[in-house]
Amino acid sequence: MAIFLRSILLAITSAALLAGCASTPDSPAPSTPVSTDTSGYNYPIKNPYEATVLGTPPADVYKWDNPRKVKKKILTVNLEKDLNDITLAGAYGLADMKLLFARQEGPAPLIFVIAGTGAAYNSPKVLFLLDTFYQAGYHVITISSPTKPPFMAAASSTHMPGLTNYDAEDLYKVMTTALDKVQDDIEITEKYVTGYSLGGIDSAFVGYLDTQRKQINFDKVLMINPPVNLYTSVSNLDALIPEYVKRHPDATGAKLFADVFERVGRYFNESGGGVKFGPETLFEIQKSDQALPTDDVAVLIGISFLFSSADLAFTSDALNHTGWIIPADENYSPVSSQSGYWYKRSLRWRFLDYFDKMVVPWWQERHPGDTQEDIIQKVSLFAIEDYLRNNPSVGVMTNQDDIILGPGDIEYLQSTLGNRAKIYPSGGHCGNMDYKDNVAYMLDFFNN
Amino acid sequence: MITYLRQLLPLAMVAGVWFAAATSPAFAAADISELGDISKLRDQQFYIDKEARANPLDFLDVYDPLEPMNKRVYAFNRLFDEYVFLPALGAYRFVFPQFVRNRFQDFWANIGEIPNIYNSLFQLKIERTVVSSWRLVINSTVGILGLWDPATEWFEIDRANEDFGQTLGHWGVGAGPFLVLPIFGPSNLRDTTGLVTDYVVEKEIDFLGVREAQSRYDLGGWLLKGADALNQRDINHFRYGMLGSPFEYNKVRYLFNQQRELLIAD
Repeated sequence: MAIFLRSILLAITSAALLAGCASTPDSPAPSTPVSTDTSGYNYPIKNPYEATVLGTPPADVYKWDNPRKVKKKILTVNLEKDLNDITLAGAYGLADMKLLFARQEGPAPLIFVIAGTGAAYNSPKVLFLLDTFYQAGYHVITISSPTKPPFMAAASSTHMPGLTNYDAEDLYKVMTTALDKVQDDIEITEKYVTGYSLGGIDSAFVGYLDTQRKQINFDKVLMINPPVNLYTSVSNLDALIPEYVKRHPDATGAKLFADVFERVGRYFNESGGGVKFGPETLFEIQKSDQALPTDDVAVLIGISFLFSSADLAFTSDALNHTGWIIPADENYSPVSSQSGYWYKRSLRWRFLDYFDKMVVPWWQERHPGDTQEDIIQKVSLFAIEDYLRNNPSVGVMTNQDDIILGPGDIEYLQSTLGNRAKIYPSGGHCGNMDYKDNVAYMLDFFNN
Repeated sequence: MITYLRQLLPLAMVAGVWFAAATSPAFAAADISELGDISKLRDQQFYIDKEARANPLDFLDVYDPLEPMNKRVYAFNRLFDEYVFLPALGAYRFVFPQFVRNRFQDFWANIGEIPNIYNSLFQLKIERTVVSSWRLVINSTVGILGLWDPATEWFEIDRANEDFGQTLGHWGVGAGPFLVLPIFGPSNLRDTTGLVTDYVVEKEIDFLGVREAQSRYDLGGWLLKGADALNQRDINHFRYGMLGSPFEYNKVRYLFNQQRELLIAD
């Protein structure tokens, strides 16, 4: 009895789009040379917050002439984890490290897709990328973000996600293990890795690690809407709620959610057809009298990020026993405890709280003398600048108005990656990932 | 509203209670008293904690006094889904191609038009009563006993889902305590009452003789129960663990409540 999830999740958690970008693709694009010229770019949503939440209107999504039905199966990777962790994770139903795998019959390139913050291997944006690359003729393997609780429980050596250098080690282990599992069944010509949002920076760190380990030997790496400075990105997202509250001093979560639900309800009433969500629904609502104000859209992104952060902070705390959320002397049981209390307690953790209170001490224990600033440098793109600059196989596709970037970030990408940096004028954070021009660019990047 | 597996309710209740009891021998007594103690303890902590003094997140609360039991049933449902329901669904999808499954889906939806009609009437939603009646007439005749849905496809008459839980809500009955029903999943006292009422009324009306035949404990009855259940699972996209969150129960509980409010309001 959970059809309800599909409908309501669409309304609220599709704000969770930090995690995913979605659509259906077409024939290998007209082969234009990789360039940074974006004149004539007509992605329709100019407001970056709306773009982030709504994505691309179905009519403007990349279309394939004869899309094949994607045959994908779940690939379970067992990484011999600490039994205690698995037991705890098992109680949440998080014990398995699952990937999705779609194979071609003949020889083809293999691409790994890494999900964004808080998103799983089967989230809408990941499925969109899987479908795109499958239609383009690649074998595809998708991986949850290291910030996703099941990854934290089943595949993380640190249980401290967000440290991109450590996360890359975990991802690399997952990838090599998966590769061992599938390589007898498929013929691989080249190997690629990509990811969006946090998965974008993850793919670059994985690519960098690969140049040292040489176990996979990636031929191409594409970052989609990655953070440049991780701290800037999470600060931007953390700030969305406080900024909203500053402008609406009497705002409460209850009022905001009630307002959103009321608007959605009124929209369905006015449209007369009962409560039905389709691919167009959110766009229709935003075109109607019940459209949410930009402020509300922005704060929905903030809320969705808060919800991801809470999951992450709680899981990290439960697995590392830091005592911050679950007191050390607490006999915590996932089944019998009052979860509402723990949930609300976790929801008071913004991502930066997690960083300050859990991550920094953990890091400093292992790297004595490092300041907070040092840590930020080491987990952001600056740490692998030489690799990005000198490696012609690495590219980035992002937007001028991406809400997770700060001043100077776009210029940094352009100066570091040169013409391998494709910057679109609009699209917000991942909102235009499935727009026809963007898909054409991605395919062109890998095909040529 | 999906009332899947209504026929299996008594059996499911027994299985769920058995599971809950088996995993926690004295669950009924122990957990409920434990709940009282813990909340007192935590209440103190709650008020001491400065950050928590004005908790803006209280709106996430859903009245759930039976939480320990509900969570055990939730865990049972997760296992049942993984080891029984989904494998059966896999076989169902293997045997019947999409086209055939669509016919089944339309058929069961047509049977389910009955509660839409009388519940629309009970809520004095005359237009919906008429619309749902027309849908029933068109689909049962032109649509060949409901195997097709020309009412939507050709006549563009959209379906309006109404159940007795919504009728109660429409006349001001509150949700009552949140309940996780074995196999059926999330509900509350009001909607469970609705579920049982619709079951009884539908069996009385017995459109096309399906509900009566389905309630029998012979081979045909069991086949109909299974077919109904598998169809419901087929069109339901929820998978346990799909949220990948340690707070899946809380999210499901909150979203279920919001969704019911939305359905009642419309």
